[in-house]
Amino acid sequence: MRVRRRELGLEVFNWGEVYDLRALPKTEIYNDFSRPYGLLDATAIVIDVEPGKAPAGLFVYRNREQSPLFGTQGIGLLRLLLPAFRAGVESCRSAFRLREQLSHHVDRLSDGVMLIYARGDVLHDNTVLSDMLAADPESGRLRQELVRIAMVVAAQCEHRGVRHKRRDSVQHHPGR
Amino acid sequence: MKVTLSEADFVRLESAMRTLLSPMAFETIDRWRTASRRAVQAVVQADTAISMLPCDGEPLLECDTDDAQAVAAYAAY
Repeated sequence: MRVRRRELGLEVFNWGEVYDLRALPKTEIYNDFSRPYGLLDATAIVIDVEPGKAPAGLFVYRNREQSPLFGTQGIGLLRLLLPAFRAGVESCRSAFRLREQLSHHVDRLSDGVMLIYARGDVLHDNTVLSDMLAADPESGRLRQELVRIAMVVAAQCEHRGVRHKRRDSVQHHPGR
Repeated sequence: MKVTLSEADFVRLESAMRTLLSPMAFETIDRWRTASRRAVQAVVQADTAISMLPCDGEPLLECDTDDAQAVAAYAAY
C-alpha cells in the first residue's frame, strides 16, 4: 500500500488521510503492526529532513477502546507543535554534524584522546588511543581508569564553575 | 481548523513546546526524544507514541520499553 503523505504534502496527518482505511486490513503493516498491538487510531507529525533518508516524526496512537479518537482537535494540536518539532530536529541534526566534525578533528591528533559525556559514557576514542588500547592486555581496566579520572576532573571543574558563579552574583549585588 | 484549548491544554502545549525546542538542555539526544515523545503524547492524550529520528549513531525509532516489540514490527515493515 502506498503511503500518500508526500504526494499530499502533509506534515501532520491522521492515518485516515494517508491510507485507504477500507484497504488497510489487507495490508502487511496493518496485520504485522497495527492489529497485533491493538492500534485503533494514529496521528503523526512527520517531516522530511534529507532526500533518500527516513523522515523525522512523532507518531501518537490510541489503543484503548475507551480512548476517544484524535479527530480534528488532535490534528490541530499537533499542527501547533509542528514548528517547535522542526526546530528541535534541526538542532539535533546540527549537534550531530558538529559531533562528527569534532570526532574527525580529534582523530587527526597525534596524542591519544577520549571524548566522554558528562555522565561518563564514552563518545569517541581517537585512532591513536584505539591503537594504544588495542595493544594493551589491560585495555578494559585502563579505559575504566581514564573515564574515572575524567569524571573527577569534570566534577572539580563544575565545582569551581559554581564557585565562580556565586562570586559573580555577589559582585553584581553590592551593598546587599 | 478550529482548536479549542482548555487551561490544561495550554499548560501541556507550553511544556511540549519548551521540550521540543530545547534538545541541548538534555544530557543526550535519546533523553530529549523520550521527553518530547511523552510531552506530545500528553498534549493529545494518546495511549502510546513512537519517535523517529534519522541521525547516524542513534536508533531510528525510540519508544517506551513496553512498546519495543511493536516498534520492532514497525521497523521490520
